[in-house]
Parts: sequence; structure tokens; C-alpha cells
Amino acid sequence: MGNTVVQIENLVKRYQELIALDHFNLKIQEGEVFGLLGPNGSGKTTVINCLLSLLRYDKGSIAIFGQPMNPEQYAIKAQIGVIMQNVAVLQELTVRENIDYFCGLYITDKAKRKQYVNEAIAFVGLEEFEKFYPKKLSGGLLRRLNIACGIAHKPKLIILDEPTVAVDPQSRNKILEGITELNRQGATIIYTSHYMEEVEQICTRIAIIDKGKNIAMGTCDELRRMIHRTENITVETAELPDAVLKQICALEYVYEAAFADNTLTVLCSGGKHNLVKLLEIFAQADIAFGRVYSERPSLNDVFLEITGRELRDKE
Amino acid sequence: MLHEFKYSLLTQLREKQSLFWLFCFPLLLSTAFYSAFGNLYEDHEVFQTIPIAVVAQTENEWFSMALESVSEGEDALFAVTEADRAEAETLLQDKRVEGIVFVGKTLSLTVRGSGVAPSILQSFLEQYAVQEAVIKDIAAQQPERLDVVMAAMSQDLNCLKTEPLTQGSMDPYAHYFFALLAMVAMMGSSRGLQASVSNQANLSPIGARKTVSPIHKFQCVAAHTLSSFLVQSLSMCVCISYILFVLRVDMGERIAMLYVAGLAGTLTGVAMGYCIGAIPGLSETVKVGISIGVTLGSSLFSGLYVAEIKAAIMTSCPLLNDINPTAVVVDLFYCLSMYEDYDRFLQKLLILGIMTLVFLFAGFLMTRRKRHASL
Repeated sequence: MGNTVVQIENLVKRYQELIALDHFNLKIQEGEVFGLLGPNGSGKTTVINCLLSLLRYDKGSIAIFGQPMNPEQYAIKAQIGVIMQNVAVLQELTVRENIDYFCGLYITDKAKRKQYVNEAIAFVGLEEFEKFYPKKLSGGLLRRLNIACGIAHKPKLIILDEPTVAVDPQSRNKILEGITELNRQGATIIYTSHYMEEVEQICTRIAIIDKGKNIAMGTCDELRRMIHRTENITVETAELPDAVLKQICALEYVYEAAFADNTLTVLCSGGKHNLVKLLEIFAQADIAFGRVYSERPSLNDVFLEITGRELRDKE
Repeated sequence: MLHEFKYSLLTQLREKQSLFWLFCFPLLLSTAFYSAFGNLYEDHEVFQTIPIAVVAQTENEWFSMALESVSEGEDALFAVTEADRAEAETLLQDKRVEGIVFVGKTLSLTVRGSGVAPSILQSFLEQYAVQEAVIKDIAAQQPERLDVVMAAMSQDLNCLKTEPLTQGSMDPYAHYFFALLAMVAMMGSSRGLQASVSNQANLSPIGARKTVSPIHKFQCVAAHTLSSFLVQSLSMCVCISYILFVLRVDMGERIAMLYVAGLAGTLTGVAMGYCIGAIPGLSETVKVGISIGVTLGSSLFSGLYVAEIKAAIMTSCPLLNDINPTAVVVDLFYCLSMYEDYDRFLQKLLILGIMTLVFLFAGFLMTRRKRHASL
């Protein structure tokens, strides 16, 4: 890891009585794909808006590329690319014109801009649509255009605020691949989402935010290690006598086991051969079973264990 | 800035809905005004030569001379048809003449009914009868002074001719077109408002994107406001040209200055919209409502719907007319059509200029270097 790209210290942001950010701290290094993960309303977008000097904050400090950030820091702004949660494109301009327009806010040299626009169009795969107006594009293509408008000027720091909301799986994969590619090309990425699978897939480091607080930060593995649970085992079976269930609960490293809806769920903390020992009990009791899963705890499990609540809204 | 200007202009010219309000609406309203007032003006307000029939029952040289003097040239008062009684009565019945003058020992008049033309005809005959009596009296008592009296009386008869008071338009309905043009100028406020809103992070995602870019806010605003002014100016020029050259409404002789007045008003309209758009703490919908309300309200007080309102305000509260931008724009057009010199025009132009600067300055102060409390 290299230099510190973003440093937020003791950031406090209030909306009247509501504390949106409560002494929030964050440090992002050059070359990271940093994920800000949290449920809706946790303060992810507020962090981004404060970072970009769009929002006033009550306390704390923000530095980007080692410089204090404020609305007049045009040199810093020139190195940032932003993809907002809401699609921000001009309906009266074509795909190419939109990208050219937003790129032109950063790049004044026409020849260079033309090259950058061509590269951005190719990057998001909109070559066939460059003469289309936004209203003719599907939701996924529109999101891709939104991304192209934000990254065409080749920024060093790219901030993506929930870029995959309401996007079909195909476009979502394309977007995630694109983000990884931008990082490979040298950009530092800040990625906010409440989709834990996305964050797990692309982020090198993650901060979990809840109620304006940074409740956990680290790599995926580091976050998993923060919690008691190390393994989730699920076994489908038609019946499970209470005696067998008690036997399972008594196994070393098993701290919780429950049987419901023909499914046995076993939570383990530590141990290497929990699944083998469990299946041995099934064999001894001569109980037939169907599908068996052994999973590492997800970020949702991390969130659940830390806060007692689900990370993702019920949909 | 050129980049911003180019795309701002392109965006505005591609907005189909705004193109209607820019170009179609003013023309439709002008046409509606013309349909409503154009015929009234032709029928009742523009003086037209009165056709009359003269039945000469006896020779009256003095009357013939007097009648001839007001029946010649472009501004002739009467178009005379000499006829016998039967022919004259037929002409009157067919409504081809307004009245019949019987020239006998005395003058007598037969008309179809009441109205402006019979009144003028009657007035002319009464005036002639008085003068004839005076002349006969002078000729009998002081014949050496007859030439002087004749010359004086000839001038009296000429007083019946219409003489313009100014070089401008005397069209009494031109006021409505002036008010219409002032409203078109104030419609620029919606363009100005967009220029303002589209650069504010808390009101539009585009504004947020621009705010986080390294381009200076002043450049964005200036380019967008300039392009808005240009587009609205185009609308104003089209509207003025349509009224002048298609509808042929008489708005005076100073055609070029009419365009200058229109453009000055447009600049104020755009600046006003920009200022409204910059008011903090209001949603875009509320700002649009204020802009429309101000445009329509100020148009009302400038006499767009009832011409007398502006005159009533002028007598009861003249300051209101001076701070109402639409009324000031109407005054600009008025000054051009009513006054020989440019003194009052320049005075109104100065007021409009000050308003424009205040709007732009206030708008910029409200939006510059702004971090929002919430987005």
C-alpha cells in the first residue's frame, strides 16, 4: 500500500436532532478498493457528500491526497471521479455528447478529450449506443453511461455511491468487472453499497457503517475473524430426533444448533473438522440427509453479530 | 467556459417542451391578440375617409371650395360623389355613402344613423355655416380685410385633418403587444431559473456532478446564463419580427430600438429567474412556482390583461411600476413609440440595468462556494 489518499478524522454531521455521522474515522490508502458497507440510512452517502465538500459538517476534518478538502480545492477535484447514486446525465445529449460534456469539465484539450471519451465508451461497452439519447437506454445501460461520465477523465480517486442499484445481473457484473479493471489501472476506489456480495467480491478493505459509526473495518477475513462464528453448516434432513440434536449441540466448537423446516443449522466457532464430526453423528444414528452446506460467515453474519440486526433490508 | 456554453445551448435548443414555450406560445398569443384587437382597430380606431354624396340643387361656389379643400390628398376627410337626389338616396340605401349633403339656399344633411362619420359630417357643415355667415358679414362691412379672414378660415377647416402628435405609433392596442413582449422577456426567468438550479448540488444530480468537478462555479453559471439569454433573445426577436412584419402591428418607426428594448428586457428576465433559482432552502418546484407567479403577476400589473391597470398604478402608486420589471419593459417600448427623444427610454433602460445587476449579484452571492446543510 502507498500513500494515504483519504483521511477522515472525528467527522460529525447532524441533521437537526439526528446524528448522521458520529465521530467517524476513515483512512484509505492508494490503490485500495475500499468498501463502505451499511444498511440504508447508515450514513454511507453522507460520508461521500462530506468528502466531496457538498455537505457542511459540524466537526472533524477531511483530507484528500494529503490536502484539506474544501469547495475551492479545484486541483483535488480534478483528480476525483464521482458516480452518484442517482443517474446524472443530460437527457437532451446523446451518449457520446454526455460523456464528452462531463469529461470536458476536467479535460480542456480537445484531442485528448476525444481519446478519453472513446476509451470510456469502450470501457463501459456502449459503442453501439453512442448516438442514443439516455431515454432510449435500458436501466443497466444508463448506469453504465453514468459510470462513463464519472470516469472518462481518468481520475486517481473514484467514488462510486451504490452504482448497481436497480441494475440487471448482467450489467452488474459488467460494472463490477469495470471497477476492478479501473483499480488495476491505478485508481483508488471507494465503493459504497448495501449489497454485501458485491463488496466481498471486489473490495480489498471494508468499513461497516451503522448509525453513522464505523463499527468494524478490515479485509473480509479480518472482519470474519472479529466474530465468534467461523463456520455455518446446513443439512437438509426429513427428521431429527431431539437426542441427536442434543448430541450435535454437545460437539466441541458448536455453540448453536437448531432444526426447523427440515433443515438443521449449526453454528461453529473454531475447529477444522466440524462437518465430518457432524456427518459421523448422522451415520451413527442412521439418519438420511439431503444437501449439505458448509459456509464461512458472510458480512451479513458479521453485521448481525455486531449489531443484532440484518445488514440488508428485507426485499 | 466555451465548452459549458456550447452544451448548455445545445441542451436548451433540444428541449422540445421549452421550444414550444419559447417560440410557439408567444406567436400564438400574438395572433390571438391580433385577432381580438386587429379588426377593432381597423374598424373603429383608424380614421378612414368618409364617403358622402353631394346633391347640388343650386350653385354654391364657397361651399364647393370648402368641400374641395377637405377632399384632396392622402388625408382627405371626405370622398365626394356628386349625384342627383335619386342616385344619392340609392347610394345611401346601399350604404355606399355615410350621408347626403343637399346644397340649396341652405345646406341640409341626410344620414343613415348615428356614429363617428355622421358626426364629423354634421360638424363640418355647422362649422361651414358659421364661417359662411362671418364671410358674408365681413364682405359687406369690411371688404378690404376679406383676404386675411379667408386665409384664417381656411386654416380652421384644415384643423379637421388628423395630424400625428409624435413620430411613433398611435395604435391604441399596441399597448397589449408591448405588454405581451414584456411577458416574453419575463418568461426568460424560467431559463434563468434552470441555469441556477442546474448548478446547485442540492437541487439536481447534474448540479452535484458539476459541483464536484474542478470547473469554477462562476464559469458554469455565466455560460449557462449567457446561453439562456441567447435562446430567450432568439424567442424575443422572432416574436417582435412576427408582430411587426407578419401581423403588421404599428409599433412606431424605431424598429431597431424595439429589438434593443426586447433584448434588455430579456436579460432582466433571465437574471430574475437566476436570482429566484438561487434562493436557498426552497425546492425546485417552489422556485418554478415563484418564477411563474412573478412573471404572470408582474404582467398583470403591467397591463397585459387589462390595459388600465398600469395607468391606475401609475396614478396611485408609481413606485410599483418602477420596481415591476415587466412594467419597466412595457415603458421601454412606450418611450420608443411616444417620445421624440431618448431621454425617458434611457432612464427606463438604466432602471432595468440596475435591476439586472442586482438580480445577478444577489443570485451569485446566494450560490457561490456553497456547502449544503443537506442534499
